Amino acid sequence: MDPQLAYLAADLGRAVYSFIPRGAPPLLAGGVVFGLAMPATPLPYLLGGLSLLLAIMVSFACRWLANLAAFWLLDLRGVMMIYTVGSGLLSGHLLPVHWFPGWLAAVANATPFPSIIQTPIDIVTGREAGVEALGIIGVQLGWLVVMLTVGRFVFAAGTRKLVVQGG
Amino acid sequence: MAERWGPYRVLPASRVRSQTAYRRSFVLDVLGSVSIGIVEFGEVYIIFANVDALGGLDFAGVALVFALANLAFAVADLAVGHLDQLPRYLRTGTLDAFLLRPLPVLAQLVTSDISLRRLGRATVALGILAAVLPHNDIAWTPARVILLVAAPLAGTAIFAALFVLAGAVQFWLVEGLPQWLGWCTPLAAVGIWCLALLGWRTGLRHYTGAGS
Repeated sequence: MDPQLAYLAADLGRAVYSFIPRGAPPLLAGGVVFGLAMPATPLPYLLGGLSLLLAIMVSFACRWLANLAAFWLLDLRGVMMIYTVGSGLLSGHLLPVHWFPGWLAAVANATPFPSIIQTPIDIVTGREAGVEALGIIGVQLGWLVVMLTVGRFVFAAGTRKLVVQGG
Repeated sequence: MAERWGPYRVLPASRVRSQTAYRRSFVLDVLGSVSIGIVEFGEVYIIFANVDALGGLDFAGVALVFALANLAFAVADLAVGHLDQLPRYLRTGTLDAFLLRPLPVLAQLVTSDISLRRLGRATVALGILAAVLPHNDIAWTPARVILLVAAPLAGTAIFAALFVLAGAVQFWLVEGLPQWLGWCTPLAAVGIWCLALLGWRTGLRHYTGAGS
C-alpha cells in the first residue's frame, strides 16, 4: 500500500468527520447571527463541493510535506508552530486574502495556502463564478499535483535516510 | 541570604541548560514563537491596509497598544504559561515532590519550566514597540515615561495572575467538571446580574440628560 495515499484516504475521512463538530456549528452560528449571502443557483454549490474536496487534499499534501521534516529534525514542535501560524495567515483563515495589501497578496498567491481556505470560500459564496471559478479550481488542481509529487520525492529521500530506532 | 535565594537561581539555570541542550530544536522553537508574534502583528497590519482608523486610533496608535499588550502577555507566558500543565503534574504526582521541598510550591512551579522559547514572541513585541514609538506623536512628560514603563509591567502581572488563577482552578477540574456544578448556573447568573445592575445604576446616575 502506498503510504502517502493511505494517509490521504484517512485524512479525507477525518475531514468529513470533523465537519460535524468543527465546521457546521460556526457556520450555523454565523448564519443565525449575521445571515449568510448564499447563491440561489445550484452551480456554485457543485463547484464549491469540488473545490472543497481539492482544498482538503491540498491541505493534506502540505501537512504531509511539513511533517516529513521529522526525518531530518526529529523534533517538529517549532516547525509545526511556524507552519500552523504561517499557513493560517496566508490561506485566508485569519483574514481574507482579498484584504491583503498588494505585496502580501502576491506572496500568498505564490504559495498553495489560498487553495486551502480562500478558494473554496470564494466559489461557494459566488464571489468567483463561471470561467474564473474553473480557473481557480485549476490552480487548486495544479497545487495538488505539485505538492503530492514533491511529497513523494521527499518521502522517498527520507526513507533512505531513516534508521528505525531499536531495529 | 544567599543560601535562601540559591535554589531560585539553581532551578531556572538547570531548566535553561536543559532547553538549550538541543541547539537546533531550541532555535526552531524560538523561531516558532517569533512567527506567532509576527503573524499576530500581520493581522493588525492587514486590517489597517484597508482602513485608516479604528475606534479613533490610527495604525501607529494601534501598533503601540498591540506592542504593549503583546509584550505583557509574552513575558507572563514565559514566566508562568506552563502552569496550564498543572493537571499533568497532578496526575503524575510531580506536585507531591514539590510539596516535600522546603520552598513555596508556586515558586517551585514557576521556576520548574520557564519556557525560554517564548522569548521569541517577547522580542518581536519589544521590536515593534521600539519601531512604532517614534511614529506616535506623544508630548513626552516624566509621567508619560513612567506610564510607558508601568503599563507592560502591570500588564504582565495581570496576565500572570490570570494564569495562576486558571492553575488554581485545575486542582478541582483535573478530573473534569463535577456534576453538581451544572446546578450552580442560576447562582452564576445571579452574581453576574448583580454586577450588571450595579454598573447600570452607576451609569444611569452618571447620566445628566441630553440637554433638551
